[in-house]
Order: sequence, then C-alpha cells, then structure tokens
Amino acid sequence: MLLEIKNLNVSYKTVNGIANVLNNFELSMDAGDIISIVGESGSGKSTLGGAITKLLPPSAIETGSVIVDGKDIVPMSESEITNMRGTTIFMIFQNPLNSLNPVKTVGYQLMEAARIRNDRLNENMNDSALQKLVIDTLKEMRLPDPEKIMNRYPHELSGGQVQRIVISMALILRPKLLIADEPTTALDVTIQAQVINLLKKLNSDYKMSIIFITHDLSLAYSISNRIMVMYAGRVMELNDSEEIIKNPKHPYTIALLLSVPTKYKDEARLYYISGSPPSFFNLPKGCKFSPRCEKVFEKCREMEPDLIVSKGNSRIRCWLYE
Amino acid sequence: MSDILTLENVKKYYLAEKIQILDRLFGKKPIYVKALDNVSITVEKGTILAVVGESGSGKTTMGKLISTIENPTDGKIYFENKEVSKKTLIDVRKKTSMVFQNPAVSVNPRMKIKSLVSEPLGHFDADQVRAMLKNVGLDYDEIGNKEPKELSGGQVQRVAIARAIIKKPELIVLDEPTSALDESIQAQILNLLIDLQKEYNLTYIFITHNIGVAKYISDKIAVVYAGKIVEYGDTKRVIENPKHPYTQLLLSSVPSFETKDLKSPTGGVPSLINLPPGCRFSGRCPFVMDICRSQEPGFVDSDGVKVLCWLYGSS
Ligand SMILES: Nc1ncnc2c1ncn2[C@@H]1O[C@H](COP(=O)(O)OP(=O)(O)OP(=O)(O)O)[C@@H](O)[C@H]1O
Ligand SMILES: Nc1ncnc2c1ncn2[C@@H]1O[C@H](COP(=O)(O)OP(=O)(O)OP(=O)(O)O)[C@@H](O)[C@H]1O
Ligand code: SF4
Ligand code: SF4
Ligand SMILES: [Mg+2]
Ligand SMILES: [Mg+2]
Repeated sequence: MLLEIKNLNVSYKTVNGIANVLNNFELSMDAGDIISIVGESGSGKSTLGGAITKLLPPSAIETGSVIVDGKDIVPMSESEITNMRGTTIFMIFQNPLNSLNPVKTVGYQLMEAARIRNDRLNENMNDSALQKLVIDTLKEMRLPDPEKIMNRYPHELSGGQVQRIVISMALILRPKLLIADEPTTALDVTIQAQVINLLKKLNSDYKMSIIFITHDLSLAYSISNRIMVMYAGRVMELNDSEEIIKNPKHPYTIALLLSVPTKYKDEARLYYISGSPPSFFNLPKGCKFSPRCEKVFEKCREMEPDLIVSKGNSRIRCWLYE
Repeated sequence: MSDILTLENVKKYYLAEKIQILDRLFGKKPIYVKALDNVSITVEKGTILAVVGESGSGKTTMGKLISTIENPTDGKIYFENKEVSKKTLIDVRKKTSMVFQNPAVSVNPRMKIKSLVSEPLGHFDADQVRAMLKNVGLDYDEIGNKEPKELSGGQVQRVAIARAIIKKPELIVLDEPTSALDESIQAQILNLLIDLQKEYNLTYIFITHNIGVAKYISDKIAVVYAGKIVEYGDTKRVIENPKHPYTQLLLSSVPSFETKDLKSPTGGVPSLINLPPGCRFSGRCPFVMDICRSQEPGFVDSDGVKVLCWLYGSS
C-alpha cells in the first residue's frame, strides 16, 4: 500500500466560525494506481491534496492519519515532511503560479528540482547532464524555444506554459505519489494529450501513483482506473472509471454527466442541478445532496447514508442502494 | 448590425530576454517573441466569439490588447468604430471588462469578496452583490467576508465572473472562465451568460480550451495557432466542417467516453522567435506541400469560412 488515509478530518477557521470540510475521509491506493477525483467546485478536492502533502494553510486543522509510503505524515514536523516532498510526494497546485517563485527564472527553479532528485537518490549527474535533462523535458512538453524559456520569469509565460513548467518539475522529480490538481486546464487538447500520455508512461514505467483532480469527466475516464466523485466534502461514489462513466449510480454522478455540454445553444438550454450548492456552515441534515436530488425520499432528509461497499470496487453513499 | 470591435493588423511582440545595459554596450540586439502577428478580426455587437487554439498561441495577449491592459506593438484597434487611443481609452475601459485566466492571482488578495464584487459599481450595494453571487452559485453570508485565498479555485473564478458582469459592460473578455468549475456549475454559468447577453445585447470574447463549451456558447469561432488566426467563421460551420489542418487536429483530439486512448501530437513545435518561413503549421501538417514551406498563406474564403491555408487556393 502506498497511501492509506484513515479518519481524516480537515476544518478551516474562518470569520464565520469553523468549517468542517473533510469528515472521516478514507482512501487507499497501491503503488501504480491512478485515481481521478471529480465533483462539485468547493467540495474539498484541493483540501484533500493539501492534507496529503501537509501544505494546508495555517488556518486549517488536520487530524487522523495519512500514511504515505509507510509513514504517517500528520504528526510529522516540517523538516521531516520536507524530506519527503518532491521525491516521495509532489503536488501540482491548481494555481500553478503558487508553485513557482515569481522572482526566479523558471530555468533556475527546474534546475533546483533536478538537483534535489540527483542528491537524494545519488544519481551522480553533473550540472550539464541535469541541464540537458531539464531541456529535454521542456521539449517533451512541446514548449517553443525551450532554452529561451529557461531564462524567463513565470509571469512572462502563457497560462498553459506555466502549467507545463510545473508538470515538467513533476516529471523531473518523479515522485512515488503525484497529486495533480487540475494540471491541464490551460492546455489545448492536443498538448493535453501529450501530457496525459507522458503521465501514463511514468505510471507504467515507474509505478508512479497519481491522484488526478479534474472537472473534465472524459479526461478522468482516459487517465484513471478509478474515479471518485465528491460533493460537500463527502465521497458520493467511487468505482472503476468504466462503471462511473458508463453506468453511474449516484444521483449526483448522473446529474454531473448530464451537465456536460454537447449541443449548440439554439438546440437546447444546458441542464444543470437546480438549487444552491451546500454551505459548510449550514449543511442539510441527512444526505447532503437531498435538497437538490431528484430521487429524494423521506429517509434521505433524516439520516445521512454511509459510504457502503456494494460490489467489487464499488462504493456508494445513497439510500437507494442500501 | 453594428461592429463593436475591430483589430487591424495587430501585432504584439514581447522581449524574449531582458536586455541589460552591458548587453547594449556590446551591441547585443533584442530578440522578440511574436505573441500575436498581424491579426485582423471584426466582432459584431451582441455576438459571442469563441477563441480556441494552442497553448501559448496568443489568446490571452489578444484579450489583454482588447481590454487595453496592454498596448499593441503595431496595428490598430477600433472600439465602436473609434480608434482606441489615449483620448478614447477612458470610455473603452468603462465599457469593457475582463475575467482573467488566473483569477487567484489577478484579484486583490487583501480585499473581501463582497468589496471585490461591488467595486466596479463605484459604491457598495449589498443586495446587488448578494444577487450576483447567488447567480454564480455562491452564498453571500458564507463567503462575503472571506478573502480570495480562503476560497476554492472554482469559487474564486466565480467571484471574478460576478465582478466582471455586475455592471453589464458592453464588451466582456472571458479568458477560460469556467476551467475550474464542475460541469453543473459550468452549465449554470453558461446559461446565465447567455441570458445576460440576450437581455442587454452584450458582446463576449470567450477564450477557452473546452471545445464543447466553445461549440455551445459561441456564434463565431476563431482558431489561433502560433500568433495567427488560422480559421474564422460561423461556429456551426467550423465545428461541422473544419477546414484548416490544425482545426481538424484540434477537433479530433478532444477526449471522449468512446476511447481511453489519446493521440499525442507529432512534428516539431514552431519557434515564436525565429518563425519558420512559410506556414507556421508546416512542421506538423499531414498535407504539407512545397509552397507551404516557403511562402506564408493568406486568408481565403472557403464555404463562408476564412482559412489561412494553401489547400484552399490563394486570394
Ligand atoms: N484557507 C481557507 N479558509 C477557509 N475556507 C477555505 C479555505 N480554503 C478552502 N476553503 C473552503 O473549503 C471548501 C473546500 O475547498 P477546496 O479548495 O478544497 O475545494 P475544491 O473541491 O478544490 O474546489 P474547486 O473545484 O473549486 O477547486 C470550500 O468551500 C472553500 O471555500
Ligand atoms: N511578458 C511576456 N514576456 C515574454 N513573452 C511573453 C510574455 N507574455 C506572454 N509571452 C509569450 O507570448 C506567447 C503568447 O502568450 P499568451 O499568454 O497570449 O498565450 P495563450 O494563447 O493565452 O496561451 P494559454 O492557452 O497557454 O493561456 C507565449 O509564447 C508566451 O510565452
Ligand atoms: S440518499 Fe436520497 S437524497 Fe441522497 S442521493 Fe440518494 S436518493 Fe438522493
Ligand atoms: S498551408 Fe500547407 S502546411 Fe499550412 S496548414 Fe495548409 S496545407 Fe498544411
Ligand atoms: Mg480545487
Ligand atoms: Mg492564456
């Protein structure tokens, strides 16, 4: 087992009080697994990534256990976790500019990543070999004029170019567990295909495990063996990608799939889930999706369903499948 | 119908490297990234133009020029048929707004959400802010007093949208406005944008990598590759019968539920500093001919769509 999360709770202190985002969250992954996380904006996907890398803001309270590569990171000191960041776990942030230092050139920062890997794993490469590794990686990312891009600062690149710099960093560091938080939102579909194929290759060559957070359901389908659907800080459904896409069970998953735009605007208005997204300060009793669910019945409003194991890899949180 | 915006041979060159004083002493010449190269386009008032294309091809640059955040290196921009100049700038800015690709770094991090959204109004109006936030699926009581860093990626993006539309400016540039939203919120926002556009006869420049979204929301599509618009026309025509080989590649690379395999692109990446002599796509084009490698194609009309490609003859 590469990752085992048990009883994970994360709350944020805010001006309005404490918001309890993740509740008794559980997840296990073997080396070589790729899991996609999709779901509601604001449901806690990035919070989960931050919890696994211990990079949550100071206002967050994290309890429970997150065992990565045999070690529980929750009680770790900053210096202990620093030794694991990069080569054991690495996170590509949703906002890639957050991962980069604005006053250092991207080349400087990529070389630093290459040296960290080289030092920790005693790979004995000299600077010119590392430089070549970095440039080759940028070429693989299809960046134009890679030598010149090395001398630029992050704000002098396009949105998708910054994203590719951070992905390059992940490719150079080659962590055991990569958390990629919407890593391709600024890439056109042709370059996105290149990036996804490179990640799949790292996964098959080195058993790199990936948590892939995305809003693009077809992309989730393409990259991962399992998909996890989140709503209001809860896992609503977790199953093989094939099943989630071809045979969705949870009413929220079904609604999400119905909202994907496929037509022209003069043909139909887009379907979306009516009602308001939940607020962590005022979560409904019972099932958190109940105020917006088309299948809601009495029991749903009274008691929250557990995440039950139905068959095989399938997990679902809904009274319809009790 | 009247035109709201025209770009005429617009260029934007950025310095590829900082030139230091010492470099100048030794006669080092500045080299440029040709982010946008001779782009011309006209946008009709009350329509939605989708801009799609390669990452790094100049889409954001185009948006920044249109909303006057940056100045063109060369060429002219007309807003409501008047040339954008120092004299008309204030008027243009009053009537335009932009949702930035990276909302988390483009909004003032110290401002509370409620102030950010009401700022364009010039005065604070809690009811209007509350209504606007509700429209984008956010709760005033929950997030009004928060700062941007206390929100999720998609929540900040929605705040940026609310801020850009609260005053219903005539022209709105939306740079990847739904990239961090789940499919349901995205659908809700696209419906909202279309409603507002119809009600107030607004014009949108909608930059996106999501082909499904571009197809749904736009009346016209411009496809950009390496600093040039390579195809431009009615959305339906372009989607159903893409002409330019790059557009064809783009549309056929959209991930789907049919297959898990994605096709990696082949061929070289054109330099934006030393541009290839002929067509910029020639290094990757499956239909490349001799002329493509030596001469740049000009726009030709093909079934009502404008295409920059030798396959469709010359103008
Ligand atoms: N620093 C913070 N302080 C207070 N609340 C926060 C903070 N960061 C996030 N939140 C809240 O926690 C919830 C979960 O946020 P998170 O960023 O994990 O969502 P997400 O699933 O990644 O959403 P998105 O898809 O929009 O990126 C949101 O409601 C958000 O407002
Ligand atoms: N300040 C700058 N200095 C130098 N080069 C720049 C600067 N800003 C942008 N560029 C370059 O100009 C080109 C166009 O950038 P732009 O941001 O317009 O691309 P884009 O089409 O929006 O891409 P994406 O889809 O990745 O956001 C890129 O190659 C980029 O590296
Ligand atoms: S438990 Fe009830 S309300 Fe919740 S998703 Fe299932 S049917 Fe809908
Ligand atoms: S001009 Fe030639 S190389 Fe360029 S897209 Fe057309 S056929 Fe291909
Ligand atoms: Mg997020
Ligand atoms: Mg951009």
